[in-house]
Order: sequence, then structure tokens, then C-alpha cells
Amino acid sequence: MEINDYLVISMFFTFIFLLISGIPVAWVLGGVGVAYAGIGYLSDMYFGTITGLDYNTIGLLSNRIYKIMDNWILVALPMFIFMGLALDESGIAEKLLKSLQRFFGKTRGGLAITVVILGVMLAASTGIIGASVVLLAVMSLPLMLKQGYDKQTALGVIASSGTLGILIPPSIMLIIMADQLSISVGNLFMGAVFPGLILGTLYVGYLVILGLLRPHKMPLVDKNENDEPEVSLIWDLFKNILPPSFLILSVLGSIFFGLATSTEAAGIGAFGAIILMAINGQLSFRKVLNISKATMNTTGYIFAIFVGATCFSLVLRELGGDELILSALHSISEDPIIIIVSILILVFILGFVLDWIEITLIVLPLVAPIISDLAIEINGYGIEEPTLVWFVLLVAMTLQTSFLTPPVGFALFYLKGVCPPEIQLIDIYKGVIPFIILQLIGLGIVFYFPDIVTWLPSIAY
Amino acid sequence: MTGKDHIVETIQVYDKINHTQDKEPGLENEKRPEICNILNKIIFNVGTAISWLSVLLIAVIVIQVFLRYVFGIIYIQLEELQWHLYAVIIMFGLSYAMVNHSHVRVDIARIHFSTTLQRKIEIIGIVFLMFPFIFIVIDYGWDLAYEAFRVNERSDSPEGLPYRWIIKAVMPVSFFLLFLACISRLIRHISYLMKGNTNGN
Repeated sequence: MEINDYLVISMFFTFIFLLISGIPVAWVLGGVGVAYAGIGYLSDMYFGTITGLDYNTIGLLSNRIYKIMDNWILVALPMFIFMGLALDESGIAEKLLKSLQRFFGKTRGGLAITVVILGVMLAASTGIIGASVVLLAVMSLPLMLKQGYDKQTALGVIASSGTLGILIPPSIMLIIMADQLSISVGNLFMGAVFPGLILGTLYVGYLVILGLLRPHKMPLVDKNENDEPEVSLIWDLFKNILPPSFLILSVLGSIFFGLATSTEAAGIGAFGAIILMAINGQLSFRKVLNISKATMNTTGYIFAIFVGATCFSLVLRELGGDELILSALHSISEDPIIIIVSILILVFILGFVLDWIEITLIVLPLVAPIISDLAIEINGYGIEEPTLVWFVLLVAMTLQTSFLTPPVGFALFYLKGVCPPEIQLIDIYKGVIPFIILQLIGLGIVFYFPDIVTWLPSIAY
Repeated sequence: MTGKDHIVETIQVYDKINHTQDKEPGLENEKRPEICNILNKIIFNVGTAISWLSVLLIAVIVIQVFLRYVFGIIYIQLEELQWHLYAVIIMFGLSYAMVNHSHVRVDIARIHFSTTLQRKIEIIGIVFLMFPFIFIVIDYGWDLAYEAFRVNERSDSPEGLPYRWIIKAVMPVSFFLLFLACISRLIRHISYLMKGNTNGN
């Protein structure tokens, strides 16, 4: 290995070490980038490397940051965050939960299935794991525990349904991935629809079977307090499911039919969410201010990592890090399948310590070129870069799984934050295990049948 | 609990958890030097004021889409205004998230450290990681903005927005606020550590 390669490797280790010490991720990324620009400069002087790093090179940082500011695609990000938070505040989720719960009340495991369905709906609306998990937990955990549900099952359902948000469009993660790899946001959104639904279906199937095999884990309510006629139940459900579905479908639909760009769809979606708040009588000056502040805050910490990662990857590239990664991946095997699996395993492991933002911003651009080069024949139905779209969704599903995986799943961390104190972290760990297995099954299905991803984008627009 | 209680809770709970990601033990009870409170308040208020731009951004997008579909008019300025607003939100979000203690950290090891060690690590992080980074962005960001001002740069499109230097100046200005947020935190940690040492006297 050359001195360059040692620099790259030590840069990675410095990053991981400082990360573990508890300094905010964004500043570690930025600071390590700047530090290694200096080290590269010194190494050019004393060790004869040709990194070409100096104060002017690192100054490209300001152009890079300006490129982040001057980015049409990413404008959708604060808008979708705003829309998600506004939907959370609108009280629609509570109403939906109540009518779903009454509708499924007589089915064993009905409440758990309700949480999954709600998770899919919320997923479509927020795409922020933290917010989805918190909202689901606050609403449904007390209900489930009161009804005598096994607490591990309850926790597992909430954590896993909450993470669906990162996958099911409109997802802010998919927007960032599309931006990083210069592929169409619309294709990624459409491609993610079926994988997301498959996961949701797997969850529901598991809960139904669990209800049959282990009825005591999900007891029914003893007596139905109010035996309402079926018709009014269905009407009630319809009435409550309509507004959020309409909003989500119109956002996705306008992208699907090519009526609006993803940015416009996001802005319209945010506007629609405000309207829904007004219809529900939840609109107030104070609430809009709170949502705006929370939007700014969330956007702030996401973009801090953006800015830091830009610096990190700028220097990494100058040091020859991308070539090192590519040759390392090539040396693993000639078989494209093995290469993809090893990348997914890498992403999964990194997902323990890194958030999706860092992985998307640093790892994805490093490994993406190799995917386009691999000779994998998948049925793309004529969409652009089908292999890349399929691969990105595999990465998205892997990341989502790793957020559920102990010891440091992000979803688990948020869930612990809202649980009553008598619930131990170990309960959450045990509860998510069956769902991690379901995730892996879902991942396997999408891996073997790429058509699940590529078909829908091909008929869109 | 009624549905209404939940509604009020959700965002606050979510916010609270976000904040604890970046929390030092005993943060609430700690008496901070007055200068920290002043700096934090300035940054917080600037951020709160700017957070309204997201509502404005929604309005701009809605108006643009409306004009295009109903009247078939396309205003380049409106389109450019969108990313201008977005840029201001994200750049000032950096310092806002810092005073709100929202930046993401990895907490596995940190929670086992003593408060003093946590603070020492934080000081090292601010001085050796953040300051050089912030310095470079302000230095080059200033050049970028000044150059845009000097040549009176405007949008590439003839109907686009003029005065590009304003949006370019957002970079050094917002990073200066970030610098102030760092200073505030630095002062707080140092004064805590010094107080800790003089406790015995």
C-alpha cells in the first residue's frame, strides 16, 4: 500500500474514534476533513505523496457548500419535514387510530395491525423516523398495554412500523439519495412503493399468525362496550382515512403523473397539511410557529451533517479514498452478487454507529460507481439506471433494518425516550427480533425480484 | 388520556428527545455565565424569526404552481426565490440546532463518561474540530460573497433575481452565528470546569 492509502485508512479511524468520544457527528466530519487536508499537505512536503491538498483546495469547501444551498432538489426536504410535522399536529392520526381500532376491534391482534397500517400512513406522511416512532408510541403504546398486550410484541410493532417512514415515499432519505447519485427522485419514490408495502404486509401476516398461535400475547377486549353497526364503522373509517390518503396520494400522484416536480409536490403537500389542520380545528398561530421551529431544527441538524460530510468527502477524494474503496471492493470477488451483498453488509454494520444521513452522504457516493459498472442484468422496463435504482432501494431497506437492530438502533432509542419507566431497554431489544427477521425476508424478496422495484417507475409519467 | 392531549404532546416530545441527544447532565440547574445566555438568546431569536421563512416558502411554491396551471405564467424569480429561502433556512438552522442542543451524537461511550470528561472532550471538539472548519468556511465564503458583490453577479437567467451577493453572504454570516454559538458553549464549559476546581477553597 502507498502512503496515500494509509492516510485514507487513518482518516476513517480518526473519524470513528472521535465519533465514539461523543462529539457531534457533523463537527467530527468537518473537523477531521480540515485536519487531514493539513496532514495531506505536510505529507506532500515530507513524504513525497501527491495529494495536492493545500489551503486553496480546502477552500473549495465554500463552493461545495454553495452548491448545497443552490440545490433545487433539496428544497423538497424542509417542505416534506414541514408537511410531516403538520400532519402529526393536525390530529388526523388520532382520529384514524380510533376508527381503525374500532374497525379491527374484534379481530385478534387488531390493535397491533392498526399500528402497522397507521405506520404505513404516517410513513408516507413524515419520513422522519424519530417523529413516526414517537407519534406511534405516544398514541398506541398505552392502549396496547392497557388491553393486556405482551409488551415486547407491542414495542416491536411500534419500532418497526415507525421505521417504515424512511422507506415509504415521500421519504426525505430517498430525496437525498437521489440527489447524491443524480438519479430521478420520482423513480426512487415509485420504486419504493412496493418494497414498503411488502414489508407492511409481512408485518400484518406475522401478527395474524402470532395471534393464532399465541393468543395470550394479544388478548381481545373482553366485552364490546358499544356494538355499533358495521355500516357506521366503515363510514367512520372512510371519513377519517380519506383526508390523509387524499393528501399523500395527491403528492405522490402529481409526481407519478409528471404534473409537478418533487419540490413543488412537497410544497403543495405542506400547504395541504396546513389546510387539514384548519379543517380539524387545530390551526393556530402558535402551532404553525412550533412546526416552523421544529422544521428549522430538524433541517438544521440534517444539513450540519451535509456540510460536514461535504468537507470530509472532499478531502477523502483528494487523498484517493474513492479509488481505494473501489479496488478493495473489486478484490473481494468478481461476482457482482457477492459485491452487492458485501456492500449491504457494510452498510448494515455502519448503520449501528452512523445515522442514515452520513451513510447516504459518504458511503453511497463511494460505492455507487461500482454498481453502474457491474454487469447485472435486471429487467429495467426501460427506466434510466435500473440497477442503481434497485441497489439504492436495497441500501434503503438495509439501513431501515439496521435502525431496528440492537444495540444502537435509532428507532429503539427514540422509542425508549417515550416509554413509561417500567419498560426496560431489553424488552425493546427482544420485541424487535421477529421484525428484524421479517425485514431480512423482505430484503431477500426485493433482492431476488428486482422487478418489484423497477416496474412501477416504468409506467409512471 | 384524550386525543387532544396526545396532539399537544407529539411535537414537544419529539423535540425533547432531539434535544436530549445533545444534552449534558445537570444542564438545567447549571448557572451559566450571563454572556452565554445573551449569545444563545440572540441566536435563538434570529432562528425563530427565520423559521417563518418555511411558511413563506410554502406560499411561494403554491403561488408558482397556481400561476403556472391557471394562467400558464412562469416567473423565474419565484422559482429562484424558492432555493434562496431554502438556503437561508438551512444555513441559519446550523446555529439554531446548536443552541437547541439538537446535533446528533453517538452516545454509546459518552454516557459512561464523567461530566468533567464530557466537557473536556467538548472543549477539544470545539477548539480543534469546529474552529478550523468554521474559519475556513467564513474566510472563503466571504471571498465568494465579496467577489459576487464586486462583479455585481446576478442570476444566469435574464429574468432571474439580481444581487447574488446577498445569498452568498448568508454563508459567512450564518457561520459567524455558529461561531458565536460555539463561543457561548466554550465559555460555559470552561467556567464550569474552573468552578469545579475552585470548589474546595
